Amino acid sequence: MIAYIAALLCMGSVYAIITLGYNLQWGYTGLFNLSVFGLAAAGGYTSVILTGATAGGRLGGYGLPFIIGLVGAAMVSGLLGGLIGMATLHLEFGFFAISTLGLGMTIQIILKNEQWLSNGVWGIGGIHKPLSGFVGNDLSNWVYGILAFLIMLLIFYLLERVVKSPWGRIQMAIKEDEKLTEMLGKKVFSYRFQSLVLGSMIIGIGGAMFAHYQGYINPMSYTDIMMCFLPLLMVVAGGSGNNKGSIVGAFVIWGAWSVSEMVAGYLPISSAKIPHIRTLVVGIVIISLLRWRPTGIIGREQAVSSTAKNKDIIAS
Amino acid sequence: MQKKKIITCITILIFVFVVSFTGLAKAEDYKVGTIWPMTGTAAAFGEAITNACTLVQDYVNEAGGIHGNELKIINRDTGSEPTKGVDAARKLINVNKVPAIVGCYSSGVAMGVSQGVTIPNEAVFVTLGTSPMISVVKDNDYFFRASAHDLYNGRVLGEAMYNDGHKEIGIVYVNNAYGKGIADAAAVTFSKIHDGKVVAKVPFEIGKSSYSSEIRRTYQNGDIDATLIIAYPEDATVMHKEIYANGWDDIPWYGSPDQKVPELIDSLGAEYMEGIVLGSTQGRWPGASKDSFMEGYNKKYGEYPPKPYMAPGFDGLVSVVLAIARSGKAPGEVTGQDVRDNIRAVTSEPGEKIYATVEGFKKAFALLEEGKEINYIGASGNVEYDKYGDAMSAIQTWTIEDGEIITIENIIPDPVPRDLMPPEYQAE
Repeated sequence: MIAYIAALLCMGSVYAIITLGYNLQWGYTGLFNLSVFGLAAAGGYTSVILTGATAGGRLGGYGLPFIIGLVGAAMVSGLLGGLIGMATLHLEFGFFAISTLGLGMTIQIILKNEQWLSNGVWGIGGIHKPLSGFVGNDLSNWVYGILAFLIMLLIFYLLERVVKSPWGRIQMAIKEDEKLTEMLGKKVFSYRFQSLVLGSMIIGIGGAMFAHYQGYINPMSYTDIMMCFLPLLMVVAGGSGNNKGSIVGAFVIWGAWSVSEMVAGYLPISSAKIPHIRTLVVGIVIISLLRWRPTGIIGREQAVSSTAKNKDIIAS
Repeated sequence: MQKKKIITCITILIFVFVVSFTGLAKAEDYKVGTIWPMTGTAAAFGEAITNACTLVQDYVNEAGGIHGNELKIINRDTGSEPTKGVDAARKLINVNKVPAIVGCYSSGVAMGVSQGVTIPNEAVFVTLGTSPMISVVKDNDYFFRASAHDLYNGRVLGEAMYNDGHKEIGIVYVNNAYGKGIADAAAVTFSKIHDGKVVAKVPFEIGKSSYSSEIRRTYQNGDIDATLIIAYPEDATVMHKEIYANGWDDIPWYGSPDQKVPELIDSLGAEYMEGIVLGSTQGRWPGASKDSFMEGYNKKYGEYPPKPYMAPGFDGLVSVVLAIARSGKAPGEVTGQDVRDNIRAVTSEPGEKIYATVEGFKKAFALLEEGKEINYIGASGNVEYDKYGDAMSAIQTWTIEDGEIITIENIIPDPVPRDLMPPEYQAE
């Protein structure tokens, strides 16, 4: 049971990292990016290729430290995010969403078919958690959970600094009124591009953290449902445009999903029906949440400059 | 006010969380976990196999339980998906403390569960995934498989195509671990064991609305003797429309396990489906276990087992149950290591043959209490786990006549030798 709490901490933190990246894109800049699963997969595969000890015919086996894997994941995902941005950022909202979804799927299909790169459909196994050799299996989840949580807190701290800066307020202005921001003399395309790349880098780190937790990945580990729409739900449920909300959303949604299966075991219904009822109930809870708290669990914070004096007056 | 609400919500969540740990099973129950795809793409299969596992639980408990203690199966949902599958297995191992898990229909999920959860936690995992890679995972012998894998299936299909006198064939396969495994094994059988020629081996992605380019590449302008179609029923339907439109429906074709479903006959028409020469699927092994599985299922659920791969799932669970019984330990004290060390002994020679009936379980538990050996003969095959942890399980060949699925035979073939396969198949 204690070990299960560690598992919840791992998955919650991993999802929180991805959600923080997504929140920067969607919550602050208003980019409805649907290639999150492709970016996360790119990050995961990069880290696994860099840190893996053996390759067996495919690219990889460099055995580099975990931290290099994370940096590599951020760089590759950021690069891909930049390429996606160059191709799609001039498009309008709906077209942007659809074309990013398509590009995310393209990344997935490349990983599925390029045997030399990703071992294709067979996937890559034997991925180690950092320090697992020293602390043994029982503790390794705790070590990893705490590590993931700390990395998540670091990203949170940096993002808070970023979004409370003038840069962050411009992003929020773009979300509210793009034309007005442009009229103020801001290069909207450039700011959106920066947000997309920075968000993609964080998503890449999340994808890499996920891979090391899972121990085995194949292209289907990063599906659009689990790695794009679920993080989107976490952003919205926590409160889009609020980094704390993203963290709360990630932990609440993942925790509710995971724990509800055991709660459902108490109901006097046949075991063949429980999963369907659980899916239904989780769906109803999410819809009710969005119906009665459309701003999310925490909601949006007021954007006030950190250097402003007498903040209360400005906020009101 | 807002804060209060949030705190209330979190308190409720924590309460639910704590309550859910107190567990359903009584302390004196033997617990075994199962994980099946109850939702997601493979959901239709999950329900049927869960029923088959409940049948095992019924038989064991009717026979008086394992050494007088009841068997309790705890089922979790993989959602046909590695992330949820790993989470489901983690709950079983960490919260319910099961020594063994039986489950997973899809190889991709099984690979994730084994490497992420069961192998590091030293729990036995018996799966149905058919990917040949499952055999070569570094598993300290904790990872078993009850079904016949793709090297068996591909061998049967490749042999059949060669023996029917075909010289040049095309293969179109679903691009995942399952499809690629059968396609590679059939191609090696056809072109390396025999001297046939595979002119095209074309992967496709599931769920597309048209496969015209894949079909054109596979059929090479109709210039081949036969095709092997490895596809799920929905995609096979789309493909056959294009084969028919191109006028290539007179070229004989061979089918993969999942096409042995009545739905495909309904959607393509019985007359068209008779074009199939032969398909392979998971077999059922004649004997008391098979009868008890078929009839018991019919009696309880009002139909005969409707899906392929149910019999090996049933056998996998039975072998775990018998291994727990042989360990002789009290409930709650059985570890994954106990199951691992006993699972081969209860399924292979020497020992008295045991079948999966109520009397069979009574007899097995009695013999094990006396310290005698048993040998379980399953519904899907002899169930002998080899050095890779793969059970010897039968392959069934089938065809269609007068709109009915006809079973040709159940055989236990030799697999394709691994050294003939591409490098990624080799054990390290």
